[in-house]
Amino acid sequence: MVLFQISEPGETQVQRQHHLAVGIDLGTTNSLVATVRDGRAETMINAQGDHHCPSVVRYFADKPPVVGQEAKDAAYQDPLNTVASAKRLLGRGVADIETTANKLPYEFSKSESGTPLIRTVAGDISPVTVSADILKTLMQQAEADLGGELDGVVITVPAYFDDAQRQATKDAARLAGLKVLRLLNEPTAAAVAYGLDSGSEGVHVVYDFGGGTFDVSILRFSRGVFEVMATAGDSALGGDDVDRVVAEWIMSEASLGDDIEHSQLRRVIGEANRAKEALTTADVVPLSVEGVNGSQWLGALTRAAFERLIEPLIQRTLRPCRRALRDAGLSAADIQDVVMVGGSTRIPRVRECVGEFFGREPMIDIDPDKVVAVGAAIQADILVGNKPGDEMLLLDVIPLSLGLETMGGLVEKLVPRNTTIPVVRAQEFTTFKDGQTAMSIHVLQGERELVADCRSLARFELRGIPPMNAGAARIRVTFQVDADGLLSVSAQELTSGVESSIEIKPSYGLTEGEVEKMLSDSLLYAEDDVKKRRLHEQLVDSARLIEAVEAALGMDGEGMLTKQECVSIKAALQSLKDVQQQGEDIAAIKAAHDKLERTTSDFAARRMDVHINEALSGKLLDQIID
Amino acid sequence: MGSIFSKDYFALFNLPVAYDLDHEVLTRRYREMQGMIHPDRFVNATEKERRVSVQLTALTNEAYQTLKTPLTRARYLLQLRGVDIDDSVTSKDIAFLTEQIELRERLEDVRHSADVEGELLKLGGELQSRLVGLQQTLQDVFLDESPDALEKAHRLYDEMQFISRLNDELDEIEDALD
Repeated sequence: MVLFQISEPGETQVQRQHHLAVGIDLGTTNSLVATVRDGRAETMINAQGDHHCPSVVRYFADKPPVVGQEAKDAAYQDPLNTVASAKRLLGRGVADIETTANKLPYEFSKSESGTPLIRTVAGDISPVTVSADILKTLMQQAEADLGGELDGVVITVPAYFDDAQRQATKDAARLAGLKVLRLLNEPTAAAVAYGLDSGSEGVHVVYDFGGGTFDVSILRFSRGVFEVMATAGDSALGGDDVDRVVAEWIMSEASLGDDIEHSQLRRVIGEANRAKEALTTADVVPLSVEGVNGSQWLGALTRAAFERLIEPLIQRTLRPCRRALRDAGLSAADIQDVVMVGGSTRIPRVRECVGEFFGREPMIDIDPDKVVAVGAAIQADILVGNKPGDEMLLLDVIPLSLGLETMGGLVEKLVPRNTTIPVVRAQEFTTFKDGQTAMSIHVLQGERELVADCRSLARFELRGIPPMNAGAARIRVTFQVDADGLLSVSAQELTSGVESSIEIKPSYGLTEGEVEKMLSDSLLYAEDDVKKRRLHEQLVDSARLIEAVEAALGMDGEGMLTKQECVSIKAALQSLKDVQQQGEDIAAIKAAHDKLERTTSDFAARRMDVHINEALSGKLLDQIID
Repeated sequence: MGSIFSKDYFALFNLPVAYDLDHEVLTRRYREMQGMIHPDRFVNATEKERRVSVQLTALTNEAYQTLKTPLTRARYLLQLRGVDIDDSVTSKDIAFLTEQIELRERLEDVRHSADVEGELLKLGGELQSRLVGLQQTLQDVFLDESPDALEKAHRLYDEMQFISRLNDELDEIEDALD
């Protein structure tokens, strides 16, 4: 482990260590990884020479899972142990997927926390684990290519993903041993790749119709700032559904019932998928599937018939487009251009309808499959610190309103949809019984008035409220949505100043304990590997902290610290450097790291305040502007 | 110079405390501030700095949204001038109350009309121009800092808020159409 070289301010900039970072498009059907090399962002190819890794994992009883094309090829012969489109199950409850599930060729069971598990020969597998296995494969591919361990990744998620789906994605990354720099919304990533490439300022629409999700985002791009004005979508609508309606049509034409076997259903869906792709250019495509009693059914699908079949799906994408325009306070005429992203935008009729809706030709000159990963790589490169001084900034929004359950099963909105993140909102509660020391808060996400119609995110149990008369306690609960779009909650009783402890029960996710257990389970059969990775993560984190503290000391140490403070910080810094140098004892490094964090906490707060105030005092800010 | 968290929203963007504000300057300063404080700029900083960055960015977002929107800007300015705004108190202005009832009835008519979309557009347009008119008046009233003017500003704000809420409900009807 080489320590990063630090340049003192004022000194000539020494060559900074190049940090290894990638952007990952974790898609429903395909996943991609991209990186910035010599200033150019590009998708990386795997050992087979492919840019795409099918998001398919095949599980075995006696050996590690196989990910990608090989797994996809085995889907027909081993449908129950081969998991595709796991992204559609991420952050969902068993009840959610019942409608989808009878269309998915797996067998499900239910975890303790109510999330669906897929029955395989390797045991019951969580969608989070499937996603983690895909991420691991991409990580190994990237590390082999870049020749070192990754310092951080940006993973893209559909803009319309709710909190549970985002959290599940982050859990998957954690299981895979990745350091997530940011969860980035897919359309925003596409806009970055497209906007930086074309340099065209103005209002852009990104229409992202992928394998399993649909998003539309309206962004304003100006002077390096991408500001999302509104986003809308459907996190369960994609190319999979196109395949499904075609498959259903084939089944009805071939007189196949709903009770066909998993493997045959897979074949029919495969045939539907092939037909869809062929109809991008062909006017008619011949079809062949195994019919009743082993006979062969032969048929054909014309483009016109195909377009009639999928028309309702296309219409379903236009509703969110209307809503996004309305939320942004714009009309179609205000839009400068429409960028098409996602494999489903290859369908000519989709392009036609989108063109008609926005009254202009959509942009199709970029590769709709790669643009998201490329945008993520650009963002990862900046966030990991390879481009100091870069002015690019992404201002994103929360896609769905956050609210709290109130009396009578109603939802009171706390953060409306399309609010720029991060956002912090506080709400005061009181007790309604004498001596009450605990209370429960139910957080929901969605636009409807009734609790039953919104998505339950979590129940927060507040404990440790000091006993008082009913109505006397004033508990301020603070909801914070960070730059990843993830919610966290804290609470304080105001009259006593007592912090209440919060126990979070996610409605559709893994609890902290479950994630820890999955991590330690994976440790069982890959102990060395996971240990090594954890140590690496800790070393990277600590190297960053050392870098940050040294820079801060160099800049402000003299002006803002007393002698005593300076001595303590330098001592804590040296302790961390010492254990870091040995680079073996993860517990000791962690302890020294935490000590340094604590010792510098006040200094950090002081610096932020002083610098921002300086900047705000007027002159500096206006100099920057003019 | 106090902590940035204790500044009023206008001071945060280095703007004079006034209802009439230069939107271009507001947006420009907001973006410049975001460029300095956004969590993306602190990915590699200490945990404390990352936390402060999130809070500060959230504050700036809140301040920007509040000042950008005419209705919330009016509310904020009234609060700064010591007006206690209680949303649960209904107006005593009979003419306004009568108008509220009329407008509510019209909204219900829209909901049940044969041509919902057309009627939405019509009522929406009326409400919009009404809002623009109110803003104009409010702008002048806010220039005067006498107690009478403040009282009047408060009344105008109440009207604006009512009309805005109706407008939101129209949006909800439109949402439900899809």
